[in-house]
Amino acid sequence: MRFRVCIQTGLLLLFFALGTLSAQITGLVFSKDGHNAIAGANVYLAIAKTGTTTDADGFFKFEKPGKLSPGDSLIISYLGYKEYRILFSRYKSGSVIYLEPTRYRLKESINVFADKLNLSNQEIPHQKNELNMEEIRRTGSSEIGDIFKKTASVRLEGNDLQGRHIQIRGSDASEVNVYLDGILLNDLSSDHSADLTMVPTENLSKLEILKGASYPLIGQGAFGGVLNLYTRHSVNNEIMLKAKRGDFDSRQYNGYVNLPINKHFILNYFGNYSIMHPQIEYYPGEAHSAKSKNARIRSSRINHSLSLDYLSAYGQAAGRFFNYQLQYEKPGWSNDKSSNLYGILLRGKNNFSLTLNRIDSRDLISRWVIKSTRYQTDYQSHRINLKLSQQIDLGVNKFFLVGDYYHYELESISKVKDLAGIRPYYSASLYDNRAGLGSIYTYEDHYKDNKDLNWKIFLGLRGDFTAKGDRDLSNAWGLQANWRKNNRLLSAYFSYGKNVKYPTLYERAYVHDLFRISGKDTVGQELIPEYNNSYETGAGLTFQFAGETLRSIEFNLSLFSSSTYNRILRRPMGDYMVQDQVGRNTTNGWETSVKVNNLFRYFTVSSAYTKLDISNHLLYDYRPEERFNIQTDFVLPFGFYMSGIFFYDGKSFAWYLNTDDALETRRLDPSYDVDIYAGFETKGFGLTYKLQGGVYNLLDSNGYDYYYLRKRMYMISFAVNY
Amino acid sequence: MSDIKLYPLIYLLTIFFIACDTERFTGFQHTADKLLQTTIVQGDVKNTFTHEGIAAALVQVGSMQGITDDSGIFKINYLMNPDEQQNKPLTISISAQKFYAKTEQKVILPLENYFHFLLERAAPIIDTTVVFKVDNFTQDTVQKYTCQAIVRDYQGASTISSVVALMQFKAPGSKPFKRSIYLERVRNTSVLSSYWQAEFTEKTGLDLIPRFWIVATDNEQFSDSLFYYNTDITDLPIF
Repeated sequence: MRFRVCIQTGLLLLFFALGTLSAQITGLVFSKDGHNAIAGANVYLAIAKTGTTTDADGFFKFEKPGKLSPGDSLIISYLGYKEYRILFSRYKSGSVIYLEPTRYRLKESINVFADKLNLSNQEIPHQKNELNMEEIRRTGSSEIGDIFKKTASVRLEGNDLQGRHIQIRGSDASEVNVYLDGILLNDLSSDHSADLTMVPTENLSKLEILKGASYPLIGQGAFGGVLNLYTRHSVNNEIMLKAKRGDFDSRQYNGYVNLPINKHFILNYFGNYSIMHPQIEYYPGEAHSAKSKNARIRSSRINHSLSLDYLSAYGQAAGRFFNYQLQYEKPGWSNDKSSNLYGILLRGKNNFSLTLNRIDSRDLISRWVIKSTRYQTDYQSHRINLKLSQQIDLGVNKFFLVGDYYHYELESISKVKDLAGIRPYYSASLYDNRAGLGSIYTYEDHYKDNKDLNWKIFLGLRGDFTAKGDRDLSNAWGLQANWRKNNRLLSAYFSYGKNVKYPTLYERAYVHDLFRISGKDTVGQELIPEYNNSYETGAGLTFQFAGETLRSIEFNLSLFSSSTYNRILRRPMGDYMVQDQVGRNTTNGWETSVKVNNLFRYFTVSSAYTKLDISNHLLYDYRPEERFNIQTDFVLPFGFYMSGIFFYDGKSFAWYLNTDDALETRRLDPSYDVDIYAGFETKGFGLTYKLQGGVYNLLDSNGYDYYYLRKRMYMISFAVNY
Repeated sequence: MSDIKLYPLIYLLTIFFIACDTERFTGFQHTADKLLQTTIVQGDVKNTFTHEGIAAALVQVGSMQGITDDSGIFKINYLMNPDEQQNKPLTISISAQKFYAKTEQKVILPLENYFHFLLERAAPIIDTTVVFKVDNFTQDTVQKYTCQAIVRDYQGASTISSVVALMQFKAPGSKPFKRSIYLERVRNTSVLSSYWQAEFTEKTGLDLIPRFWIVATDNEQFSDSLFYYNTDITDLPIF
């Protein structure tokens, strides 16, 4: 009975909604190449001179004029796309319109060049997720791990001290290449993992997650995937000030200025200062167990980001500077970290781009029991990277070529400072060089005369060379097919690829600690590269609706398998630390997601599920076998929003070798929790005011198990934008 | 980007790299000092009351063990784990016979660490013991003996629960046999010390061998033993 009432009410609402739409013209505008919604496209009637612009979802709606000329046309235009024109009498309200991209001839936009030359768009097909600025802002959290909670197969581990590290499909953080505005971040630490604390969430405009192991252009060594972080940039005058307060006596202040100097130059600055008293120790051995309490710890972070962009008809030149500082203090111990990133990016209209960047990182650790005797370890790393890319467009045939060179340096000195003076007791000065050439050839065609069914072949090849003498050739290939019919778009892909990852400088330096050698995995007394073979297949199905009760439904499914060889395992044995290189692991899994956009106009519901089967928990420990989340966003047009997300991590396992060199298993129980956050935005005196509040991990079922990534935390913030 | 002339720029960059240090930008350097794997944890273990070194005390540092020498000194090589490198205190346990075991948390540093440990004596201490014949005993068939002992305990004389002497008697031409003699508390002479005594008889013709073990035990079952040795039974009473 109750069910029938629900159905009847639903039908009534549907009829009502359809009835109200009868005098309106609606539709959706999408890009033909990327299938992305086009926001801000002009939609108007040529003679009646009435119209509107599309919203963030590409949706438009305007009132049908009372008097309409029979020859009036509906025109849809957007910079960088061919104008769409149709006789209005032939236009069916609620249609989905795909605009075809044109060649670039813009002076104003940064993003057009950036998107065109974004190498991740040219890569072998894999599952890809994007989080835009609005979604990131809405989360309201400074904890970047909160942003990934709704993304399948992606999780974050870490803390202020060790950094925040991303894992994709059960990978290690060192197996995910993280790019910040096109600059690889991974080499700031000795283990090749990228610390995402380098960029506060408030300075991000887009996150792009490419899952899978074979990306010849951008994914050397990335057995897990690639994360692209894009910072805030705009062509408008913008100023933002934000203050935030939360648990653990945490305070955060940040500001953002975007200043177009003239029609060619744009200056952009973002600054952040945050401080907290963590109350617990960040001991690595307690990562998955009870934490030692310490009320006397103080942790403060400073971030700066400065950029200057030059835009002209011929291309874009950009300078980037990022700075990150961490001060972590407790009785008897202090840690000062500082990282600087300098980058120059040139992008030409002839599809050529150059990136030259340098990363400097310093980590100074002081320890003492009595203040007059201090033990200091000064770790410094430097990296220089030059990357060139060229796209050769021959109609349906396209070539993408990338050449990159990396120079690594690492210096570490340990010393004792006491009344007798300074006595160094350990030093290392290491360097290495690596170069690579990557290429992808694509061929795109459609089935006979049916342009709605098109397919694309990808062939990738990458050669890598190290100064040590490693020479590796990796191939990858993929196939993608799209079928569009009315409001439906079905995409399917398959990809296969090999990848190679070279040992880090530290691993190479301590090769004399190599303990166990197995015939196939290592040769002689030297470490050899790690290799990966991976397969992936997936499909996506999207339904677009131009009504107001439902805008679209997106469904994705991916199945993947990834095998890694020669993994290096560093572990204690008695009173020595030894390295093993016998590691083999195969991760099989699947992930699926569904998203219902603009349900009853104001709701968006999304859900994702991931299943992982990891064969070797000694090499990849504590990776949840299952992950699930469901999120609902409620967004009202007058500036109020509210979101809730439930997330679940299944049980996870770790193996370790005990003192008798026997394998033992540890288990982490499943966990779940809920985030709820809300915000309100209003305008006045030419300014926009935004108040946000939230409680993350409301149920506190994880406690400190994942440090603060899953610890209950309340937060409130206030921001003013100009 | 044709106006920007990229190719000369690349050429200049190449020249720059080469001019800096060709080997550094084309070669590799992978050798470093042998990584300092272990730190030295050393120290001494002494008696709280006497400040004398305790020999053969077992020192446990994490999963590593060591034993003190005659002077009570120990030295252990220890591999620090990442937690201890961040000042997580390390548990050091010391145990020795007749002493209370002790566990302390110590922050250890990368090169060397020297710690002093004091252990509290738990077992009683038998200061002295004597045995003598009671001469004015009048029976002809038996001989009467007296065994005396002075016993201390740092936990207090009243904690001493028993003092037992394991005597041996022997008849001419036969094997010796053993007999346990239980001493009784005579009085506490101080907070720590007490007198103990037992009077016992044995048939005439069975001679007491002047070599025996005496064992004192306290309430916590800690015990001390002393081997008495003499050529004949000629001791004088000690109280």
